Amino acid sequence: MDRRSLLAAAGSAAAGSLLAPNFAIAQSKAFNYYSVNAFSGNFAVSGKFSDLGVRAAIKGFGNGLGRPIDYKKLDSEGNPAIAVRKVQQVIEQEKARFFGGAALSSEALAIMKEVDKAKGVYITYVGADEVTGKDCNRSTFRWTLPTYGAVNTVMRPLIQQNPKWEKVYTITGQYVFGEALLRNAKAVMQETRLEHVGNSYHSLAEKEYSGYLGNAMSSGADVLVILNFGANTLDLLRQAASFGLKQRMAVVVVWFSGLDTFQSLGADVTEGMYFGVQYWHTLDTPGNKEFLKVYRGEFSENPRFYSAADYQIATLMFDAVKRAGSDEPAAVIKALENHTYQGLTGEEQIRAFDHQCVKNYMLIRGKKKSAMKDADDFADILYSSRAVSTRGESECKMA
Amino acid sequence: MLETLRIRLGDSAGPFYLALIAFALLAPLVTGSVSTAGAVLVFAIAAAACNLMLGYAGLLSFAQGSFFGVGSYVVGITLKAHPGVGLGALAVSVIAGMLLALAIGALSIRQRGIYFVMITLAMAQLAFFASLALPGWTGGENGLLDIPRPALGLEASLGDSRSQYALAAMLFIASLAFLRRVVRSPFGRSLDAVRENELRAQTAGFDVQRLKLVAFCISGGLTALAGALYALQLRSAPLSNIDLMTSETILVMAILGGRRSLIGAAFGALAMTLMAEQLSQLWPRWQMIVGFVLIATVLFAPNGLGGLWAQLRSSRAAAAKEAA
Amino acid sequence: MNLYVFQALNGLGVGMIYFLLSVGLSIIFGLLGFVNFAHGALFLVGAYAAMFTAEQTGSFALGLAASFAVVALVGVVAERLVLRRTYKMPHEAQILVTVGLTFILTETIVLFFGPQPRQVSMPDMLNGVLMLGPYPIPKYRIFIFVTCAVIGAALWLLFERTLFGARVRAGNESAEMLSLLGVKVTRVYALTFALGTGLAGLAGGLAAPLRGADPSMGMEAIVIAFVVVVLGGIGSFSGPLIGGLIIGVTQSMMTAIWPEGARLTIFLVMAAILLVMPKGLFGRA
Repeated sequence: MDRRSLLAAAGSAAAGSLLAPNFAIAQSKAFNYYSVNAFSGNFAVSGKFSDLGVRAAIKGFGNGLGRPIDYKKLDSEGNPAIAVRKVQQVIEQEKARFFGGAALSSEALAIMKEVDKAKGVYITYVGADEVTGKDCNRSTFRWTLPTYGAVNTVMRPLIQQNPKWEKVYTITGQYVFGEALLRNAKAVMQETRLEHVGNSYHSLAEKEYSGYLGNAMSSGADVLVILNFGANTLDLLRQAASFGLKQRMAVVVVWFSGLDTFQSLGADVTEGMYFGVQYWHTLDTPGNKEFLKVYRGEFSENPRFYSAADYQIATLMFDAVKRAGSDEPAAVIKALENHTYQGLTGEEQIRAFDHQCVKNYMLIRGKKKSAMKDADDFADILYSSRAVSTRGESECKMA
Repeated sequence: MLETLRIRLGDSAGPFYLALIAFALLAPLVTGSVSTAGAVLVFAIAAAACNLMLGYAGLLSFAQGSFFGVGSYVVGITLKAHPGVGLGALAVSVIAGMLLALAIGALSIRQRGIYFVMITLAMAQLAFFASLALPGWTGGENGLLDIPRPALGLEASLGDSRSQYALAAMLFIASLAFLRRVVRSPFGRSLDAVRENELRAQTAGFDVQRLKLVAFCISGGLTALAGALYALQLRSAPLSNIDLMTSETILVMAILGGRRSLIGAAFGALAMTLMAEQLSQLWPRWQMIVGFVLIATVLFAPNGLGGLWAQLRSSRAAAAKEAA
Repeated sequence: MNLYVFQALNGLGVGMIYFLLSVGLSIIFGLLGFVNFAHGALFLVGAYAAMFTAEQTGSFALGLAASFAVVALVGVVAERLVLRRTYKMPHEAQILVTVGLTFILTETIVLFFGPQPRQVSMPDMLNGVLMLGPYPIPKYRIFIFVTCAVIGAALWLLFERTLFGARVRAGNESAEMLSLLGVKVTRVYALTFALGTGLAGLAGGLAAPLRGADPSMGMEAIVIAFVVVVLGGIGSFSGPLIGGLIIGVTQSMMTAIWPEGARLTIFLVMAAILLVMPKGLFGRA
């Protein structure tokens, strides 16, 4: 192709793209919801289950908006740079304003800035407290209970139930999230007068935990508290079980994904351990019952955390748009603030000053394989609470 | 005047610069958006800088990701502390990249072949872990956020995202033009000599280690520039910019494009980005297709996309000669 | 017995897996000059092959056999179809091809097994711990050490005492000489490739009960494999053995001495050794 025809082709392409927008406006008045997650790459688990959750939400919401819901997936590949780029692209090309999800905290933190710049609405469920803490902004809402609530919900009742516990050993991920968990754990241990006999930090990329477990075993602690997330937790627990750690001390995992991680480990590993979860499928609440009806009806299986979380945030979004009676992000934001509703974990409320959802966090205990009523009955719920820190303690300063 | 221009720039300079400009202008159309095209230009710069090492110095470096990441972090830290510096922050990033290359190079440049690859990999891992260990500077696993874009004076007429793209386009053209000058200069010729036969070059009197080190520094500086540009576009510097995947991606783009072809590097960046963009919308297992494409390229287009482009141009020139 | 000895013993088990993973890469690189970036993906395929076979047949031993056989087969097929054509090409072409192969292998596994990490169970008799003083050593880690030691001895015999081994070592020095002597070089290459890749698969099968099977195993394995091979010296046999053990033990001990830096230490040790011995511990020029 010579230069002339190349220029001609370019010209017609440009002309074509100028014409396209008019066509698009006349076409659809569907509600566009953009779900960002990792559908490929190392974190593809997240995307796979997230997709099921959004689809359940759309099914469950039915025709509540009076028009079709157009659900678009943005594959971040587990890479925050790609997530931001794709969000920027749809904001510019498709005037996208309503976003949900994220596989990683780093993705969510970067995306929320872009959505805020575009004055959109973004609901997420990642672990970083900064989302509704020092990085909070008007566009962003967070469903998951922060580390303060996770630590307190898990540790306090256990400490109360086990007055013989005196010494605690912690294994902490050496990253911002791990530090947040440790900070809260130390506060609890101080208040309950437990002796914190030692802490081992491990790096984000760690795979070999025998040393840390050795430290824990030689510390003479009664209980091992695990303060990390994701693959770190899985590898650590697997190795802890192989070392017979459970026979020597109680094991408490403050931040655990839930059904998918139970399935990855198996009941032999998780039996007798304590876990803190944002969601568990046996929750007996009206919100969860409704969700299970739709989800089990569609997919004939029990939902995992990502599916539940994506279902909840998508439903919140659709519902807010409906209540606001408009597609204006400012109106939708207003509709979300101070909203109280029947969520998956019971009655939940979205705080206005930091857009943090106040919901229940659950303490569960791993069951023996022989005691499991079905293939997914890995744990019993022992306790739940909605502990959150006060406004005074918050770092959020929203414009 | 045209004659002197041609003598100064070299015979094929005209078409090269035209190709760069055309690439920068057409990328948004081909990729469908200015954001994606911006990323293509960023990685084109990084891949071209990698070509300097790979195709000219003959060194396969796994540390390119560290320069990229350091560039992102430095531009972010600079602009957040002193927003008034504006585009000068880019210069700071380039210097940071060159200094890092100097440091890594001092330790690794004596190694050859696979040993050089592995030392650079070790350095890259060091940079990664250092970034994780200094959350006060880098934001740790959360990344460095809220990086302010310097005002370019074009925002009113073009809009925010297009003026960012204009900056990317200018830097892309300037970087590749600069690289072309470098590889065609006496320095570039000496690099060729070193790459072809290091022992002979040494006995001929070339300071082999110094030549390689200088190439490494140029490559590091430009890769850092790419990283800085990316950080400006994203308004953030995530940890992923400095991890091994980024090094691997840059290398793959450079090799795909053809290790000696600068315009090939741009095509390599375009191909990989487009594939990721388009295929990920169709199938979550899209990386499998990329795998087949990479293998096919090596088997059927051993000189990469740049080689295909050169073949296209020479066959057109031959046809033109015949027609004349 | 104190904590550091305990860590060191744990490190030996891990180190032996690193050895098994890396020795194939070393041999292939030494003999063919071929940079196999797909080596980590082979580890991954081995783990899943073992898991699948063990689940279907109920036999852990069959699972291990499958992890070797399946991956050796994959290696041979890949070599014959694609990789053979790149031997004469520069290293970066080989890297591109094997990166492509990695994508294909990894995504195929995810296509069949899904992206969720999977637990791989070990046979009951290997479950549990052996007490050494106050420290529990998992029986499985001892099993790994013993198995890898046996395989290592067998490999040594193969390379030092058999005709095939002699040919491989000769080919290491000069492929040209080998063909001039009338040996069918492509045959030696193919067998070496099968052996090298099969060993990586077996390493995956052995490691699976220890760390589960998940799609990110490949990336992690390739980095370790290259570190161990380079540190030990390319083309050698003792190199990956000593290198693997050094890395394994150092990593384990660091988790007691400098926990946050344990992972990083692997690279520091490699860099330090290369600075002093640029060809690695047992590398040939």
